[in-house]
Parts: sequence; C-alpha cells; structure tokens
Amino acid sequence: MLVPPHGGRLVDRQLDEDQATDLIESAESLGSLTLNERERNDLEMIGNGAMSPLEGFMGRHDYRSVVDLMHLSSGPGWSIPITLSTKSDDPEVSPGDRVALRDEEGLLWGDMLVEDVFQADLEAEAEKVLGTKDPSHPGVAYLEGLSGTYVGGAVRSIRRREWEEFARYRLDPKETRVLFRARGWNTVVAFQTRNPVHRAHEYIQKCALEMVDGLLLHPLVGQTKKGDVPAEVRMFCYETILRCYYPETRVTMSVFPSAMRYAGPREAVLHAIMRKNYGCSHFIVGRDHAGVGDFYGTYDAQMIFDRFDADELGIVPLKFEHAFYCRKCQGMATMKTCPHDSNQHVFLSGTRVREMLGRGELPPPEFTRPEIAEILLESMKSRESE
Amino acid sequence: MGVVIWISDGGSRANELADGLKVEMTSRGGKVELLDAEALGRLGAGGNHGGTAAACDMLARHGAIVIVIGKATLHCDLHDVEVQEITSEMIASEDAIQRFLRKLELSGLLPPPKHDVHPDEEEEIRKKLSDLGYL
Repeated sequence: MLVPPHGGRLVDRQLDEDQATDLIESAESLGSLTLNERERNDLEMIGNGAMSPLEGFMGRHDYRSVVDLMHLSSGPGWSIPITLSTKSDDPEVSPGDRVALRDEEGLLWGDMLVEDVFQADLEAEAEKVLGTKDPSHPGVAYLEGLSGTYVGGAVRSIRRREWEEFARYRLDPKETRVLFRARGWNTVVAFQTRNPVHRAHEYIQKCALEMVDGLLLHPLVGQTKKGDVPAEVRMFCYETILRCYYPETRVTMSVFPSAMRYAGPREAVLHAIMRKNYGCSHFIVGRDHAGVGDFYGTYDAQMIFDRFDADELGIVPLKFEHAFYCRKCQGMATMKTCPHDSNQHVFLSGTRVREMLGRGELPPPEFTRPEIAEILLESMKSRESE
Repeated sequence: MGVVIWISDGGSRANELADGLKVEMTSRGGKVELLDAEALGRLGAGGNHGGTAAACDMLARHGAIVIVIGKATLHCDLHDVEVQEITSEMIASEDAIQRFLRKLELSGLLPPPKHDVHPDEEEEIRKKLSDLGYL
C-alpha cells in the first residue's frame, strides 16, 4: 500500500475540459489577477494535488503559521508559504470576489475565490524562510520585487497542454500513484534534481533503490535561475542514462513542474512533502539540497527533518553524503564508506566541468558516463554557437 | 489525542447527522461511539453532563471517535481530548459538514477516505500510462 497523501487525501482542483470551457467563457466578465512564472507553477501544483492539502494560495493564518512554525494552521507540517502577490495593474479585490488568474500575457490559467487579502512581512519571510535578507539570494531578490500584498483563496486550474513542455513525462500525483500500484511498488524513492546526472547521482539513486521497490526520477522543469543547465538537456541526459544503466522495471521518470526557490533546508522539506503526494515513501536528500551559493550549511537540508516528529511528514528522508569514484576502492563511495585519501577520489566541481566542456574535453568516465559527457559537450557547443 | 464531536442541536436532524457521520467514519476505519447525552442522563449512566463528559473522555482517550448529541455543552475539562462542536447552523450546510470532516482529517483525528482515485478514473489513467509507454 502506498503512502497516503499529505493531509490524508489528494486535492484535485483541476477543471475538466467542459468546466475549463465554461470558465474561459465566464472569465471575460471577471476581474483578473496576474500570475508571475512561479505563481503559475504553483497554481499547477495546487491544482494537480502535488501541494495537497493546499486548495489554494495561502491566507494570512496559514502564511504566518508556515513562516513562523513550519506548520499549516490546520496542523500538518509545511515549510514554505505558497502565496499570490498583487501586481501593479491588478484590480482591488476583496473576500468573496471570484477572480480570473492570468499570466503576464493575459492567458487564463484558472480562477480563485478570494478569501483573504493581507499585507505580508516580506523581510520576516525572507529571514525565516530563506534564512537571509541578502539580495544576492535569488529568493530574496524575488521577494524584493513583490508588492507585499498577498491574496489567499481556493483556486481551480486549467491544464494548457499545448503549452506544457515534456508532455510525455508530465504525470500528476494521482497518475504516478496509479503507476506505482500497477507496477506493484509499495515503497518508492524520489530523486529531485535540477542538474545533469553524474555518477555520484547514479550511485546514491542505486543505493536507495536497494532499499525500496522503485525509483522515481523527478527532474524539476519549472522556473530555475540563469546559469542552470537547460531542462531539455538534463532530460536528454536522464533518458540516456536510464536506457543504458538502469533496470527498466524498477525505475520510472516523470517531470516535476515546480519552481525553484533556492530555499535550501525549508525547500528540501517542501520537495519531500510534494513527492509524498506523488506516492513516494522515501526522498533522497543530498548535501546542500536546493541550496544556492554559500547561503546554507552542507547538512542543513538534512538536519531540518529532525525538527519534525517521525510520523509527521509521512515520508522518510534518505540522507546521503557526497559520492565520488575512488581509484583505490575501484568503485563509487562516500566518506562514510571509503578509507582512502582524497587524492584517490575523482571529483570535479561544476565550474571545473564547465571549463573542461568549454575546452572541448570530456570529463573522465569515473565522474560522468561517456554517453552523458557527449550530450553535455554537444549542448555546450550549440549554446556557444547561438 | 482523541476527539469528541458534540452536536449541540438535539433535533431530529442531529440524530440523522450523527447516524450519517457514524457510517462515514466507520467506513474509513474509525472506531465510533454514538452517545445521546439526554438518554444517558435518563438512564443514570451519565448521571449528569459531567458524567457524560467523563465517559466521553475515557472513550476518546482509548481511540474512539465519540459523537454526542445534547443541547448542553460539556461541563468539565477533558484531558488530551479534542472537543469539536457541530452547531445547528452547521447541520443545515453540507459544505460546512464537509469542511468539518476535512478539519478533523487534517488534525489527524479522522482517517481520510480509503480511495483517492475512483476505479473508473483509475482505468482511464492506466490506459493513458499504457499509451505513454509507462505500462
């Protein structure tokens, strides 16, 4: 039996085709609130149940409870506020209003029954959720660009499949749950990534797979920051490595269309909760999960799980050390398992890998599978030629 | 922590609601005890509302979901037991009752429904997964 969704049941706020058609017609007479890219990602994740038990953007009680206590006001653990900010051209709205939700180009993505309009303390939000007020942190920079007024209320979302990237890999939580059941998996480990896959990732995924029935590779394809490897390149890497090095019956891949907040430890908890909603019982938390720069300690994203009671989150974090190839061991290892000196370890930083690829060199096979190295090299060449 | 659900309107709709809640909660795997505060008083089993409260306390602390119908409210403190009241205004609204149940679920006081996907929908999803090559 699969792990139950967070809060007990999977929320479904997506409109079917007939309901969506009705909304598209009726929305003409509604006032509209504008969604930025993150908010549009969040709307999709609320609608498809990935953010269960949320049924909409947070009102003040949930917002304050999450920022201060890492719990929803109704009880369940929750680490990051999911909010909708008013924009300069938005109309004034009040509780009880029904409003359309449109992106910056005016495309309709859903509607909302406004339940609360409130002033947020963005400085406190940055400090408590992101752990910093430094504007060089992308999450702080995002908050600094907001109006400070949040609108909360239950939403309904429309699927715009023609706009969805990686449609073939876009499975909603209820679909992954059916998939896992059909495959006979009771325990599933999720791996979150926004980076190309190297052998260190492969190693910890396979270590985790030794313990559970199945592995869900769940690359994030929502909004990321400039400088991250494009999602299409990462997806091609994953397709390739799955085909060449993973047992087909034990592994599956789907995309995770959520926006990155780079909130480190708090985001690790959110990522785990959302994977629980997808039906996963375990979640891999590596070093500096969802971190950026030097804002978080190496193990902060692992230690934060200790602040919740064992059963509270309902998903088991699998905490992994950094992995590397050891020439003496002649295999992949971590500091937990390898006794040899670090000069025996093959490890390359992201910067070093980019430098090698920039010179047309392939990273060594101990670090990256040759098939993946070729893809990254080609991608680098084509981006340079652009 | 256990829970006592106090339906403070004693009319026939309260009885109907209590029966409906018992069926729903039992189907979810909850252990439900339905108590009529007035009847308990007449039988001398509760003796008074303080006695009823003590009975509720004991049942709830042992994991039962206790539904009590009675016009008065509980007169004594319960230990480690959550008391949730359903008022006459709430009884008139199906939405309010659903929100009430959801609140209990989120607080961990009531097991959620057992199926999150309807069997017909599951069949459709399986077909989609098969078409996409997942199955």
